[in-house]
Amino acid sequence: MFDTISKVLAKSDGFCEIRIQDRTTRQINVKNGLLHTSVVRRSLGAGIRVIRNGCWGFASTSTLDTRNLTKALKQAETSAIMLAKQAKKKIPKFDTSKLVSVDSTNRSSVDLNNITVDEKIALALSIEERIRKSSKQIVTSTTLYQEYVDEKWLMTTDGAKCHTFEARPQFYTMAVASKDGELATSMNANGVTGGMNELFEKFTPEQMADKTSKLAVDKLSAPYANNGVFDVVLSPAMVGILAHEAIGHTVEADFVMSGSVAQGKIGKKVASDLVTLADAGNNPTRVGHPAGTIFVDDEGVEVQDTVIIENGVMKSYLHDRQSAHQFGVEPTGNARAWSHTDTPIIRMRNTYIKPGKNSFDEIIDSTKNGYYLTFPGSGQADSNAEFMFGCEEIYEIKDGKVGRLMKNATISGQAFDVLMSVDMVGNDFDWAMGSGHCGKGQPAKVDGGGPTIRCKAMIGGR
Amino acid sequence: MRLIDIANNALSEAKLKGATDAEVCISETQRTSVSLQDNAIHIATVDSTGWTGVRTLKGNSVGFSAVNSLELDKINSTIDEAIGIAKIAPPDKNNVLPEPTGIRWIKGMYDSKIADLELEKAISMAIEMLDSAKNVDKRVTVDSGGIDVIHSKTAIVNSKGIKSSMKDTSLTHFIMGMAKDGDVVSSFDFGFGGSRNLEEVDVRKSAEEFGKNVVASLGAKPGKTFKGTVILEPHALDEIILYPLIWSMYAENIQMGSSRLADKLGNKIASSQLTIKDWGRAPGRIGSSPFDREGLPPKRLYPIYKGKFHEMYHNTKTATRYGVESTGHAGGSAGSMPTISSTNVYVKPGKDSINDIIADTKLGITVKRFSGNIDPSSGDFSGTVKGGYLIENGKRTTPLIGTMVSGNMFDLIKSISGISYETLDLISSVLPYVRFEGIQVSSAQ
Repeated sequence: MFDTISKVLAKSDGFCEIRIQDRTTRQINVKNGLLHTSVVRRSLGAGIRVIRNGCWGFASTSTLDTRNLTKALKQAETSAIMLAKQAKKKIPKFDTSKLVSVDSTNRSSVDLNNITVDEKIALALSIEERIRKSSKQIVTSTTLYQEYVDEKWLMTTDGAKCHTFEARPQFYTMAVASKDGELATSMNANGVTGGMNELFEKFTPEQMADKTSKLAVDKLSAPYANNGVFDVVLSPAMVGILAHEAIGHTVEADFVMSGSVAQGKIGKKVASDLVTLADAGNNPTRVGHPAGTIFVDDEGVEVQDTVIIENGVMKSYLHDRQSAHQFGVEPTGNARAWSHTDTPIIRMRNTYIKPGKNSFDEIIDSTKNGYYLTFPGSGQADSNAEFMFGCEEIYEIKDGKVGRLMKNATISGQAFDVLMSVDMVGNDFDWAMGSGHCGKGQPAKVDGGGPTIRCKAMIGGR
Repeated sequence: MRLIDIANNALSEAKLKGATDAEVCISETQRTSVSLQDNAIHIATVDSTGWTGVRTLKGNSVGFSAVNSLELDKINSTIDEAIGIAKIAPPDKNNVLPEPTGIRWIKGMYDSKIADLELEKAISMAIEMLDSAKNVDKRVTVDSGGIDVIHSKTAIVNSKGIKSSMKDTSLTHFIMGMAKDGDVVSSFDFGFGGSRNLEEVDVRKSAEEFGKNVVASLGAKPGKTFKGTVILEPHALDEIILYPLIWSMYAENIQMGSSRLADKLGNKIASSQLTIKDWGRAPGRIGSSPFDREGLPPKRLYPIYKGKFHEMYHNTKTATRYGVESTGHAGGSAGSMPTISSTNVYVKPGKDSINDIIADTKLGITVKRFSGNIDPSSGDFSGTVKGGYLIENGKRTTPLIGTMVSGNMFDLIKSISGISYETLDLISSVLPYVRFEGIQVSSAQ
């Protein structure tokens, strides 16, 4: 591939970045004993991005011979030149110090391609059956296996040359329980960077199934949480989504430049002294196999463990090459593109809060009245850092003890106010939001995690 | 070679390779985009994408594979892959392909002015959109947005005789951002629009409305905690009511037992004021198509008629299971297995103006958008209010922040106390403002 890319790059009159991506996506979905879908999708193509006359142009093609790649290069150049005629802002020349030449293939011990489709279908069928047969109250049982296998080749005219391989499987178990016309749902999910061993390292699929069916049945008789502001204890999964949704998006430099609430906050106190929050392309914790792991970003920049907030003080935003130049800092390796038809934009990778000193028992024991939130639903954050995310599994805390299960609830607040209110940080750690995707015009596989923490936030129950 | 010929060749190949039945769907899309970022035009993009999706049956076992190519050798590999999956997949007697029915063209699906639109014109439109928003007020800041010009061709053939093809165009625009006044930042908001006809595109109007909305929401405050009246504006109505309600009326969810409407067909489930229409052949609309993902024409449905659950949404598989005809609501793209999908959804407008409905509300809130969780199975929802206002004594007073709403959608649709005659076009739906009673409103104050 590099030979073909080199030939086309040689024809470029100015900055050019060529990224070839070969992706295989597989999805197996079983519902109520029937194989609902078994699908494989192959997507191979090149995305070509150029700067001409101070403006970006981009074109993509799925035909990878020199003639078609050159045609795409010319289309990208024409687009940039036309944009430059009307654009007021011009792109500066970038720093090249963080560009890398790398050949990194994170092949798992049990490569996904070495497991047959039959075996993957058999797994999805057997686990679905386990959920379905666990209780007469289960009316819908679902399993979903998905995998993305990506191989990429990237070269730029200013020196990057990268070849990467990334495999990301994920597995979902879902159940709906019914009683007297009322329905209750539950879901469990895990996603990693790696293979099958990594996917089921923390929980076996059987454990996921059992937890899912029990939770759905238990929710049928669970009361609603109360509305209001409470002491809330967040599990690592909830901390991950707090770090990602509530803080992470506000510090993406493109968003900062547009005027997010994090603008002008570098060097300022934005959180409790106990909070150190980072976004890592790799896995500095050596715990688990986070789904947002990359070895180099889609501009050819080396990834970093970027500390965003250190002991409560904001230290850095997340950058691509352009924003880093505009802010006068080094790029942080956060430029990511979902497919060859997408342009790289600033995205998070594995966003987390670093562990503290408190044990889990200390945190629960010292909480008189509040809620323990353990498994998140989807989440969103606003420009003013007001965030909301759902909670699939929530328990009340009464007099220092974890009590009854509650029905689904929502947690909300102003992210920096919530981080200011953090008064206990656990000494545990886990990555726990590797399933699903982050959306920002295009999807991205990300992860999030941290220790157990305690803070104040608003609970939306009933 | 024409798409329909490529599809026919692939179909013959699938049969030769041993498929009992097969379906081939091919799409080819030319796309030109201009993106906005950080209050400036950011990048211009052109691409051409082709997808071939092959569904094969071996008896009643199904396999599906897709590739982003129209090249013969890649399509052949895709056929092999789909047949390979079908060979090992457990059978389901409802896995069948549809027989052909008459397809009629729909007016306004294609505009040569969009198909031939120059990149330079798209750039000018993006700049006009950006400038229109910024000219509303210097505090308006545009985070992102853009113009998307699409020219597509689609062909679907199957071994039962379906041969459908079409071409269509669309131009959509989107602008998103906030207002910033010193350290005070408003909520996100957005403006958007789109049409299959260039003459109907108005980027200025969408941008100016966006600008006015974000400036108006500066200075938002927490409201009050009460259980009572909430007016859902069209976006919020779409998110809290339409999405879970339509989902509950998809036959697949009913058959799987995950819908609360499983045994409610023909029963009254909502206020008599509520009528919902699904019209997939509405002329010129972006959600319209002469045929669905399986090559069948979409029927006009009234899923809810005067409060009754009147009709459910079917594709061929769910219809076969019920022994009825598909309603032509197979959704998805060439690169994906057919699912079930609504088309253009209309909620029947009422007789009052939104101003009269607000004037008639003693204490309540309006909700422009909803950021929260909705469980379509149970109907429970809970989340934060975006772009909302407190209503006191018939007047919209304070813009809201830190305010949550929660309740159950199935209970809510029985408590409608007003529907406006004004509607908003959300591209995939046309919806009025609807007032509900008995929603829990909670303030952080």
